Amino acid sequence: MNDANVYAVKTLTKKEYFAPGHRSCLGCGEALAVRLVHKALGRNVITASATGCMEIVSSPFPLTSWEIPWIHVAFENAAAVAGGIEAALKVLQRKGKISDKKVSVVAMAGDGGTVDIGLQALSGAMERGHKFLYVCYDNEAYMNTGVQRSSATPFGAHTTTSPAGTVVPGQVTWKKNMPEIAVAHKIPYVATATPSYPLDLVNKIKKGIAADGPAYVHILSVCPTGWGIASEETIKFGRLAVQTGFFPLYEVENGKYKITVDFEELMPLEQYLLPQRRFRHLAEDTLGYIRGRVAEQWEELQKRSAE
Amino acid sequence: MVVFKKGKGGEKVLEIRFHGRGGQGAVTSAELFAQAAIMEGKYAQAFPSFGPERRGAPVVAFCRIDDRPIFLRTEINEPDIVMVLDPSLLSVVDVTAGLKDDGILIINSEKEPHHFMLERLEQAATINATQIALDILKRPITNTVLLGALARISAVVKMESIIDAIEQRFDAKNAARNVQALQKAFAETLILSKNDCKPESLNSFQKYIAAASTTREGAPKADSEYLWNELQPGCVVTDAGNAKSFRTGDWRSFLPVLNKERCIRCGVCWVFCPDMAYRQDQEGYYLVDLDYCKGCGICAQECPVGAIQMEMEKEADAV
Repeated sequence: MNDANVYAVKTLTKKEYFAPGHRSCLGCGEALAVRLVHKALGRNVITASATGCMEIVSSPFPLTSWEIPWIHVAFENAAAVAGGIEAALKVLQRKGKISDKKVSVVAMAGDGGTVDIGLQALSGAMERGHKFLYVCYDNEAYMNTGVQRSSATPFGAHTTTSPAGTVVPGQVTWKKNMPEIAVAHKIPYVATATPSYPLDLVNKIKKGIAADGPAYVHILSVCPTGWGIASEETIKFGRLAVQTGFFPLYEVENGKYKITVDFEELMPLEQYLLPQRRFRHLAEDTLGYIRGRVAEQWEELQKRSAE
Repeated sequence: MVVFKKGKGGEKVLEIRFHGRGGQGAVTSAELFAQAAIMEGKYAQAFPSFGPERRGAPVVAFCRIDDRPIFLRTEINEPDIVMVLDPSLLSVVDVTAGLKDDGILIINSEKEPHHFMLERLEQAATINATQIALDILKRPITNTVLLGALARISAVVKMESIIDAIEQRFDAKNAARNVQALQKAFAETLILSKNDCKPESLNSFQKYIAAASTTREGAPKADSEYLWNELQPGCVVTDAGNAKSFRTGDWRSFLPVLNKERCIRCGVCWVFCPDMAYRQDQEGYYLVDLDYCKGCGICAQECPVGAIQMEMEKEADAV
């Protein structure tokens, strides 16, 4: 626990825009991320949500956990719908048909809805330059349907469609670097965050929604059910992912990199990986490969943020 | 003792409903029983109800057994037997809903069966499956244990077939332990027939069932109660945040308890709660709302001064 979190979390608003009574699993990191994101966004926001865990748990008819206007759309088009909402607001305000109060437009999706199925719509919306925020809640597999691999599943992770055996060590491809893909679109703001660092997350969301153009925030959302950890360890594993360099927290503002939670020295990767059921089969050679790539990724990031 | 019942077309059919919590293995239970029936040359189905519920939430699974091929594909609304894997469900779900008048109720409980007897039922049975599971399996997973009670009560499937089904499903070590738990449950199940039940204890369970509910006041009616012309276009829900009327606190098996003397009122428990269960009181302490707390334990784990302890929930007292 870092001290800033202990003494400063009280500065966050007491108001909740994501109501209790939602049906996520015990200790759901994604529900916590949604809650903190919407604390940062406040009241004047319209959210378009792709299919996924958060859609299922927050809106079983006739109940809804949403205190703000929220629309569920198909798996692939959350970004396109958000883009449409943004364009409609712009036109209606220009024509004087609605008040010119500032309304934020947000698209949300899980890793499947972002890096696999929704990538085309997201790329299009970022390219067209809609002024909106896209939040990816990345729990590193299709958890809603029972843990199938996505292209955001990390190398070596066991899922039902990338089972670990004697020959294959689970997922055989490296996690797709979605924040870099967003950076490549030259959008004004890209960041990574995790609810284990709540103030960092809230600041990034606020920066993202204030940016002049598309913004992308990639949030690591720990999934106790899919990762095979105890429900109380959600926050701990989010923190370990950052402290070991497995999921570095950084932001890219108009092309300028900055590591927001920096360490002189990273913690050993085993402390993050081996206690998780999805990684417990990892042999030393696979671990060595992961260690190498994580170190390389961390160095690259250090270099870029020093520029 | 239940044997097959004659259905409308003269066919014999037995329908069982399993009540459990997500992750407790109600579906496995139903599947093992169906598998055992199939091994004996009968026809059987096992399937869960589909909903948005997750780990810890109340769920149901079904098992249908017949002498002839089964063409029905519907959920079981009028079961012959109801099995309850977790006694804490009794205050949440009306487990006897739709149970046939001469049906049987089997409950995992340390109490005796007369606590659960209803006038309209044939038999009630209890088995302290949680204890057996903790003793033998070292985990409070009661699904295979309860099959022992089911085998004792229904003559439809032989014990040997259930053992075969378990041995096919689990590896040798787990199968051996599960079979041991199954046999212990078979021996220890307490069965009470209506005729042997004292009249004064009949129906004490009735008022308990009537109070079972997962919602708070102000909840909208269930989705199945809506007529087509009552729906908004696009099924829009205009009552923002009405999920507050749904009590997820029923999923809890551990309860956070605050030690106010150690508490520094920092709010870390509040900020890390995925279920928005913490509220600040006037003195500045953060208190948990038990209607929503699912008992994940994040607050106890993250509290910087160790002021929160997780304690095991007790079986509902009212029964």
